[in-house]
Amino acid sequence: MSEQYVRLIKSKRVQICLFIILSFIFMALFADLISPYDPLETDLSKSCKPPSIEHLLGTDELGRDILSRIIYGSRLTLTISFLATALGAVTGIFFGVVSGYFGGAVDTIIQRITEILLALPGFLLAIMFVAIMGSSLWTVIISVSISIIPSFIRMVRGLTLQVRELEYVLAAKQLGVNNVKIMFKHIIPNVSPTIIAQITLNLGTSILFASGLGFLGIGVPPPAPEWGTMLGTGRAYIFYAPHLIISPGLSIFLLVLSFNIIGDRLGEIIASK
Amino acid sequence: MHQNNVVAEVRDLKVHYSMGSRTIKAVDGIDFTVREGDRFAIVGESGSGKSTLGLSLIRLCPGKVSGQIIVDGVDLMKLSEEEIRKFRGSKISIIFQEPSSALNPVMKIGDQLMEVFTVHGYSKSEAYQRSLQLLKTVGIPEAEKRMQSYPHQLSGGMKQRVVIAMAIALNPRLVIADEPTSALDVTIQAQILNLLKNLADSYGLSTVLITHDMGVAAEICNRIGIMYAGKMVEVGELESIFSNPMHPYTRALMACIPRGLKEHLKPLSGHVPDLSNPPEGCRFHPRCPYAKDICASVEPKPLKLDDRVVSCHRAGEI
Repeated sequence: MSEQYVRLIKSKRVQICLFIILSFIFMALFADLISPYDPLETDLSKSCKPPSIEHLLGTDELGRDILSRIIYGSRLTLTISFLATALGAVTGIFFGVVSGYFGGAVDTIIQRITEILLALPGFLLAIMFVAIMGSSLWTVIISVSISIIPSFIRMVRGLTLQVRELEYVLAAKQLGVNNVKIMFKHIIPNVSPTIIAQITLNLGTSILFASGLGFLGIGVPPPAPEWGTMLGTGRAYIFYAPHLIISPGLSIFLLVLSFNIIGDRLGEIIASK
Repeated sequence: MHQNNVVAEVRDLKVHYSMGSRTIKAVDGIDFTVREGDRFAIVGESGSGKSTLGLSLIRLCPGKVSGQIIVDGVDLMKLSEEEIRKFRGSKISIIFQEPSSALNPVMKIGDQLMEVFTVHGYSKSEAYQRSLQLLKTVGIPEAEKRMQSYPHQLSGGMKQRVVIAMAIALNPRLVIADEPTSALDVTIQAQILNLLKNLADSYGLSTVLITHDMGVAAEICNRIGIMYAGKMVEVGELESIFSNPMHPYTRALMACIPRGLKEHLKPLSGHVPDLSNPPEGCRFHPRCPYAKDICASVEPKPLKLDDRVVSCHRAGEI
């Protein structure tokens, strides 16, 4: 099994993806040091200038440096992506394992609620939540996490049902280990490879959700340099100054694609076992 | 060794599974007693309900269980979930058939052993010392090193030793071993059986051994109960059953033990009946070479003959 992971790391495709992800993480961590301008500083005299030596990726409609906004935007995007996925995964794993382990009425209640959540498309759910709570960084994080909770509940419940019947779970039970310990020490560690693959995929999805909200104007409120918001405002100048949307669009594309490819490859390894 | 202190007493135990509209009577009214120091074998074919019986003895059976299971003077059927949790492991425990699935693949051997102690209130350091001692007791070489091993780094026999160590960790009154050697090589089987026997002797454990193999039962047990289709058809001392089997099914099982090259095995034809719709009368009558008319209509009552309990209309005459 570990051999497969070695091969995964050695594959060119995965290395390129990792490189892209790591460079965005690097940008996010050291935004203050590497960004050439203040991402919020406006200069209307330089509005919508195409890429030049001075501004490598050009300037936007308010004359802000796009490169600096992309760099600071990666901080925002990755924060949303990691926090939302972590929040969604933890909640989903918790309810999933409880639902699968105990079964009966607990399972029925959790599953019916999950079905209600699943019936609404995740993005719609996120929009609904933002509409109720108003837009801010935290509402975006929470709404994105809510939209990914149901898939985690479903997946972890299914995995728990498989593992629950295995003899080492019975063995732990018959030696007097309590339910909480069995769920968190015996069941979850044994299903973690699948969970990790799902988390990786969701890191990509949550970026899409967050920028989608931004694009619609209900994401992280301006003037924060959020990629989706940049796309949304740049849309108005699409023929006049296409560089306004190319950079944020490409950033979203590359980052989401990288997370998805790695998630898919992890999933393939797990499925082949 | 044959003290008369009763460790476990099972009275009219029934385990029914409902599957849709059908009810499967996997265990249907079983009585037996395990005395202190007893090594009691429950022998039966696949599908006779013996594993269900084993699980129901520690109340881990998913079906509907009724009757009485009295262990150490406590009726397990009357305990709450929390009380039974404390009871498990400390008073009664079970050894599973497949050692590779009875150990958590992502936990170190040492951690799994120590968990048995820590959940029952031992401190970490004490748990470590006791776990180490246990591994030595069950004959695992380089115990310190093995504490840090994961299950896949051990052989099947070693894993089964660890499973046994976990089962006897808290010195329970009764250990149930559900086909403990079926998944192992024949040479390892003998070692594990010997280990079980020695542990039972030196710790005064009472053991219930569930097996399909009369040979295994004969190896280490002193009493034996023969199970067929959810019923106990014959219970008695090992020697007397082996020298004089009274139930036709016991005879059939004995005929399946290989005895040298000259004698051919006499396999029993047919298979265990569908437990959702068992035959009327004696459940064994369709396969029984001695069946009479009465066997097909009236269910035989357990008959006490000397030290033996037999459920057969023709017990004593055949």
